[in-house]
Amino acid sequence: MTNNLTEFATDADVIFCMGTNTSECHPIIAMHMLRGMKRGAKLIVVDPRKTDMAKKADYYLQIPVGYNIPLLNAMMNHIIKEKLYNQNFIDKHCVGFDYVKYAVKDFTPERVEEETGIKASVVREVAELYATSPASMFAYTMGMTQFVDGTSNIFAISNLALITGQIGRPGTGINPLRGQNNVQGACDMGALPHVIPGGMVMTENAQKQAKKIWKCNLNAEVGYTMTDLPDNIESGKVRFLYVFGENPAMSDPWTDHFIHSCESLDTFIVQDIFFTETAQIADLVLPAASWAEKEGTFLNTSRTVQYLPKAIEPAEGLVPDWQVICNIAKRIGLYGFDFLSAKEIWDEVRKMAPDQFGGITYERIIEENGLAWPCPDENHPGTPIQYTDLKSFHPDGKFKLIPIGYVDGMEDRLAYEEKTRKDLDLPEGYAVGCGTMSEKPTKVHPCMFTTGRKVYHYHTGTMTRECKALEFGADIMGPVIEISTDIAETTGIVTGDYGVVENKRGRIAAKVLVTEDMREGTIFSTFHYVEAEANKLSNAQDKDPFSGMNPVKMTIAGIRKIDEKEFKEIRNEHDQFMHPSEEYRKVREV
Amino acid sequence: MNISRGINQFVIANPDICIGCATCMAGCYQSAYERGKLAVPRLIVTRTGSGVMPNQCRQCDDAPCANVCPVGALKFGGDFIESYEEICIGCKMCTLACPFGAIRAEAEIMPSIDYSIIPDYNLGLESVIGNKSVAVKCDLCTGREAGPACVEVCPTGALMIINGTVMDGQVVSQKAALAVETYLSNKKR
Repeated sequence: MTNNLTEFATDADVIFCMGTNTSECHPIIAMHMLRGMKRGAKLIVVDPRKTDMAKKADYYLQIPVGYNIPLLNAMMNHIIKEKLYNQNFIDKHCVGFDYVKYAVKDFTPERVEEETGIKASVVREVAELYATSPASMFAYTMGMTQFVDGTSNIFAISNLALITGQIGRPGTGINPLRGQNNVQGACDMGALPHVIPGGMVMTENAQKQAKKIWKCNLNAEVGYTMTDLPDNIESGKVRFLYVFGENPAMSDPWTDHFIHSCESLDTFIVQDIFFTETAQIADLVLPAASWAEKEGTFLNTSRTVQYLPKAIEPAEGLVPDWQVICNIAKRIGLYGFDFLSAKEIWDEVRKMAPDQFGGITYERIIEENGLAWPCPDENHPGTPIQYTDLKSFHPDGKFKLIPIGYVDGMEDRLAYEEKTRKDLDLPEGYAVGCGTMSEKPTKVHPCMFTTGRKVYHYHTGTMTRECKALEFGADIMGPVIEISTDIAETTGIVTGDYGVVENKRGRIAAKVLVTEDMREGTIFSTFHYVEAEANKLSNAQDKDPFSGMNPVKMTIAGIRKIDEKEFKEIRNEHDQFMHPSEEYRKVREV
Repeated sequence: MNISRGINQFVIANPDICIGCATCMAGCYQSAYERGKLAVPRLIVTRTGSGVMPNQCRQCDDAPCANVCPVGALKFGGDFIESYEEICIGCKMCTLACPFGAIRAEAEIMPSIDYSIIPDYNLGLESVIGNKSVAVKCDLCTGREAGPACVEVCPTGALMIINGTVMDGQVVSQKAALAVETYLSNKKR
């Protein structure tokens, strides 16, 4: 987030939520938003599902799955037509306003109405509200990023925030709500194929820092992304896999493909606190210390480094994760893993990225109850709001506006990019974004299928499903397939029926809930439940050209009603696939 | 004013600040479990086209459920409708009589089986023939020192207890005073 999450409550006048089910996935942030609304802030929600926040919103736009760029471009089209943009900000701090003008010229609010049924007047009102309010805050999550055009979606948000100057002040900014307590930290620490703390691997600074502190020459080549992993295992490029505290057999798209590919591994090690589905296909399973048994820092969605002391000592024979990694590194014979505490590791991070973390000492984190980076020295107060000086990270300090288009099919994207480059005479290396649908409904699979979370479970339920109060108290529904009313009409399915959703990648069976909250032609399910796990159907074949992300939030599927006998058959077959050990299946039923 | 002396107290949520997080249901389950009651949540977070909030027993003064119960498992108590699960015969008349859908016939699943990972789990109790169901409803966490668990755990403060004192002091008197004051000040003007 460019800003701090408490600003939803204290400063924002308009809160624009797109592709986020905030109250279910980020309840704390939703509370801040509601406090903001009580203060008088207006809430705009854009989502294919009428979420709880959508029901509280002043404006709700029910877009089709993946219809992000056309809507944002239409808003910008109206803002440009009515001259509601911030001319002063654009002139002084941005480059490429003409590119945006070119890219959005065909996206009128009327076109949105024609394509989606959302009233053009509503699009115009929302655009005016966002552009003209003293402080507009944009929040988004996976409903924007997990598409083949995820990066372009974010470029479009960035364009919108920049041309209206909604950045660099309290209650503004571009705010991805991070889905896990430390996902921002994992990225900052370099748990990515192209980053180390200190910058991108090919940059001079990262090279210099690695040489100075790690005493090694850093390979400047960018690695491959997680989404390439199954293919790389199958092609023999990866032969050893060590999964630590993750359950990719369920959380990664196209479950069957992932599990089958893991069979080609020479060695597969899983370390976790529970016997997850991934652990069940591993060669070696190791126990781990749980979150309450280790101390350290988390880096939250507001870029704030927070300290977490341990609540209890680890169970006998277990050590914190950092010690596990150090032990392995030392046995391999690697230099620089002689840490004695988590604090020493943090101090090395501070040395690696002094501009970002230099002033964030353990003492200050504890004393000041968290500090936001960048914080270059010990007298620096931290940076809860980025870009207050209205300077970007680019060398010239200007913000770049990126032309973003939308085409009919994935194969048209290259042509759009070439045409745009030619028409605009873009400088070498200037990005061009382009949105499209990764898959379109067919006769066999006529519905759009999207995935998400429920408030009471977390991801693959490794921990939350072990908690009886959540599993039997809060969650009385279990896995359900939610369908829109028009699908219910054409298929004759009613709430409570058993249904099977299938596409070319897999199928899941569960009880069906017919709901008016869903955009027409849309099916929704969650990935919490091993017995009916939505990622079996997710698309892992197509990728975002910038980030390599799979379109996890968008695929096509068909649904039909089944009887209890078939339901049990599918469930049993699925159970045996996900829990291959006969012994395990026997033991748990005692 | 003593009009509300002796009214039943009840738990209710403010839908404007409820975010539907279901923490109340988890708290309710835990409280029921700890008090030796049937371990199921007694309030259900309910989503409709207009919003979300938990729905639970209103502890009606002339409660249809207590009137209809043939065995006295639901009984008029001091200031709420008491429920005695151990003598319930599972006739489900209260479920029919309740105008709020706040009483359900429920049976507990086998504590020794981890249903979450066996394939029949989501057939739920339908797959287990021979369960005896009992009526469950909010009993204001009778026996729990800190009072209703849902009110205690609600992170937004959406759930609250309404009793005679609250009714008199914060609801009726305040509103009456505001109404009279508005009328008088308008008249003066």
